[in-house]
Amino acid sequence: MKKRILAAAAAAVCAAGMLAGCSGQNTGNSAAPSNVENTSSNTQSGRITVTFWHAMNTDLIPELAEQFNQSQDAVTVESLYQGEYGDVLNNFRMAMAAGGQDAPDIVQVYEGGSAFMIESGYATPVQQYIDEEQYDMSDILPLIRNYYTYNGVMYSMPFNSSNAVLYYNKDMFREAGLDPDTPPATFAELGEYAKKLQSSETAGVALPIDTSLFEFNMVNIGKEIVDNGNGRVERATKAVFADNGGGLEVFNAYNDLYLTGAAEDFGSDSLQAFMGRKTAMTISSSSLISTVAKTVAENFEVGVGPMPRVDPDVDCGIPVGGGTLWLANKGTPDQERAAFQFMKFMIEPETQAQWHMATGYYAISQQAYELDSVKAFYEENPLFKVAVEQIMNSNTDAVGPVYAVNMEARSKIQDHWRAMMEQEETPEEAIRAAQDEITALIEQYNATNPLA
Amino acid sequence: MENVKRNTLFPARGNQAAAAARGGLAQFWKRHEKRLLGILFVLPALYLLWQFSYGAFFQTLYNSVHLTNIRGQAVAFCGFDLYRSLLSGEEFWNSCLVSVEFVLLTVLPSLAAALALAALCRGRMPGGRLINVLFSMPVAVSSACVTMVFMTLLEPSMGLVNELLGLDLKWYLDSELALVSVAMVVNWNLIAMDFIFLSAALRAVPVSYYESASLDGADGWKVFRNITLPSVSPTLFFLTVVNILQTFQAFGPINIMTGGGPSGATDVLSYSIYRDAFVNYQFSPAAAKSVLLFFILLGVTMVQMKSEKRRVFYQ
Repeated sequence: MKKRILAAAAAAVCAAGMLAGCSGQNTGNSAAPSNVENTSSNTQSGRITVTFWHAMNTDLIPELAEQFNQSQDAVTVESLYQGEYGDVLNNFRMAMAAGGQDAPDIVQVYEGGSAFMIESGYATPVQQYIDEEQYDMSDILPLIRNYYTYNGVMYSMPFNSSNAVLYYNKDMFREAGLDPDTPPATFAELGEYAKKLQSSETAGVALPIDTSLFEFNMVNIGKEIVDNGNGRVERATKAVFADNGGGLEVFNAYNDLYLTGAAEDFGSDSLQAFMGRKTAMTISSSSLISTVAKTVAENFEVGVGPMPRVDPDVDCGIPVGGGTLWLANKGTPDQERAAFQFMKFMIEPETQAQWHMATGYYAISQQAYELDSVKAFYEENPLFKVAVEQIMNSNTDAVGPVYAVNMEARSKIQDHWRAMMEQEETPEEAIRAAQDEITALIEQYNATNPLA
Repeated sequence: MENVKRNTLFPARGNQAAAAARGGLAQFWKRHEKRLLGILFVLPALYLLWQFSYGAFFQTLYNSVHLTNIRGQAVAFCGFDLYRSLLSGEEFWNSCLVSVEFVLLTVLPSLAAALALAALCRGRMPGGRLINVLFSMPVAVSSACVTMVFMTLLEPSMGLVNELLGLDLKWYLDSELALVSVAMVVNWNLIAMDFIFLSAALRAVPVSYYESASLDGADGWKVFRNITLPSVSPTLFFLTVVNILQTFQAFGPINIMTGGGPSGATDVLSYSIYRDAFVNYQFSPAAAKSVLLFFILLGVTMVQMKSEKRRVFYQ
C-alpha cells in the first residue's frame, strides 16, 4: 500500500510540476536569427543589431523594419512576431527575469500592460533619449502624447493607437425609418434606436462586456477609476469609481440599455454578429473599419459614428487604446540608443501613413494626415473620417487610468457587469462590489511592492 | 536481506574511510563499480526530473507560503494565509466545481463513445481499415487547430452548427453552454486517443471467446457485457486515469475559446492558475492553487488505484 501511495504521489507531482514548470526557470524564446522575419541583406560589421518583439500579425512590421534597415547603415532591426499582446508581455517578462540576455531591445506592449512595464523597472523611459537628442515630439497627436506621459515622463513610444466607435447598419436604419446619417449620440438614444431596429432575427445593439468601453465612458464623463489622478500623479491607493458616482452613472446607462430588451451580448463576437446581420449596431475598435466595410460591402451599407456618450451634456473626450514601443532596460545604453533610432522611424509621417492605411490604426503623426496618399485613401474609405474626427476633436486631456493590477481589475468589472446584465446584481451592487474588490487588489499590490 | 543490500550501496562511514586510506578513489571505484555506474547512468534522468518536475514542485511549495512582487519574487512570508483565503473564497470552489463538471463532460462521454466505436470496428468489414484510420486521426491534430475549427462551426451569428440545426445558441459565449462547447473540442481529441487504445485492447481478446459465446447463443449486449467489457477493463482503467489527469489540466481549448469566461463558467483549476500567474501576475495565489490541485490529483489517483483492485480484471 505504501508503495502505491508513493507511486500515486509521484504521478501527481509530475502532473502538478507541469503546471509549475512554466513559472520556474524559463527557457525564453531567444531571438535566434532563424526566427527573424525580415532577412536583412546588410550584415556588415559596424552595424548594431536591435531585436524587436511585437504582437502585430501582419507582414507590414518586418517590411517597415526592412525599410528602416535600408534607410541607414548604423542599425539593423530584426523583428519577431511573438504572438498576442499577452504572450509578448509574458515572454518579455520571463526573458527579463532570466537576466535579460534573451530579451529584445524593443518590445511592443498593449496599453493595459503599461503600468507593469513602469513598475517592474524592466523598461528605460524613452524620455531619456527624447531629452538626450532633444527630439521634437510635437508632431504626435497631443491626446496620444498625453496618454503615454506619466508624471511628465514619456515612458514608451506611441505606435499603434485605436479606440472605440459605433458601427451601424444603414440599410436597417432606412427600413426602420431612421435617418441613416445620424447615428445615436448617447446611450439613451442608443436604446431608443435599438428598440426600433430590433426584429425577430436581429438584435437592436450588441454591447460587448469589455472594460475598455467602461474606461472610455468614465473618461468621457470626466470621472476617475482610481485615486491620485487616475494613478498618474502618484501610485493609486484605492479604486474610487463607486465613491465618485461615475461608475454608477455608466452602469446605469448600460443597464437601461439592457432593460429595453433590444440589447444582446455577443461578447468578443459582436462585430461578427454585426457583419452577419444579427445585430443592427455594435461598438467595437476603430481599427477594424476597413475590414468590416470590405467584408459586408455586397450585403449592406455600414455607418460609423462616435462612441455614444453616457451624459448628453458632458463630453470630456475619448482616450486611446492600442500599443506602444518600450525600450528594454538591459543595461546596454548603446543598444537603447540604436533602438531609439528605429522608434523615431516608426513614428515618422510616412511610416505612420503606411501603417494607418494598411491596418486601420490611427496615424499618430499629425503630418501623416496631410499626405496626399492618406487624403486619397479617405476618398475611397470615407468611414475612416469619423474615427479620425473622433480622435482629432477629442479633449486632449482624455487619458485613462494607470495602475498595476488593472488587468485583473478589468476582469472584476466585467464579472460584475455581466452579473448586472443577467439581473443578478443591481447597478449599485455591481459597482460597489467591483470597487471593493479592486481596492483590495491595489492594497495587496502596494503592500508587496513597496516604493523604493 | 534488505539491510545487507543497503550496506553495500551506501557503505558505513568506517568502511569508506578505510577504503580511502587503503588506496583512494580507484579502489573505491573498483569495489562499487556496478553500483556507481548505475548511479551515473541514472543521474541525467534524475537531473531532468529534478529540473522540470520536482524542483518546480518545491519552488511552488515555497511560493505558496510567500507573497510575491510584480517580478514574481517572493518578498514576505505569509504562512497559510493564501490557502486560507483561497479556501474561504468563492473563486476557488467555483473552479473546483467547474473542473469536476468538465471531467464528467469529457471523460465519460469520450470513453463511452470510444468503446462503442472500437466494439463496432472489432470485426472484419469492408473499408474497416479506412474507418479505423478515420476514427484515430483526430489524435494527430493539434488541439489549437481543432479549437479554431470548432469556434468557426459554433460561431453564434454565422456558424454552421446553428445554421444547419436551425438553432440560435451562443455556445462558447453563453455561460451555460461555454463548458459544453469546450468539452466538445476536448472530446473530439480524447475519443480518438481512447479509440486507439481500446481497439488495440480488443484485438488482444482471443476470438475463441466470441466463437464459444455465439455457439451458446449469447446476443450482442450479453457478449459486450460479459466478454468485451471485462477484457478491456485494464485499458479502461488506465484511460480513465489518464483522461482525468489530462482534462484536469486542459488548457489550450479554454485559453483559445473562452479565456475562462464568461464569468468563470469555464474557469477550470488549471486555467485559473494560469490566469493568476500569467495574466494577473499573482504568483503566490497561483502557487497555492497548484499545491491544492496536486492534492486533488493525488486523491483522485489513490481512489482510482483502490477501486482498480475491485473492478479491474486482468487476464
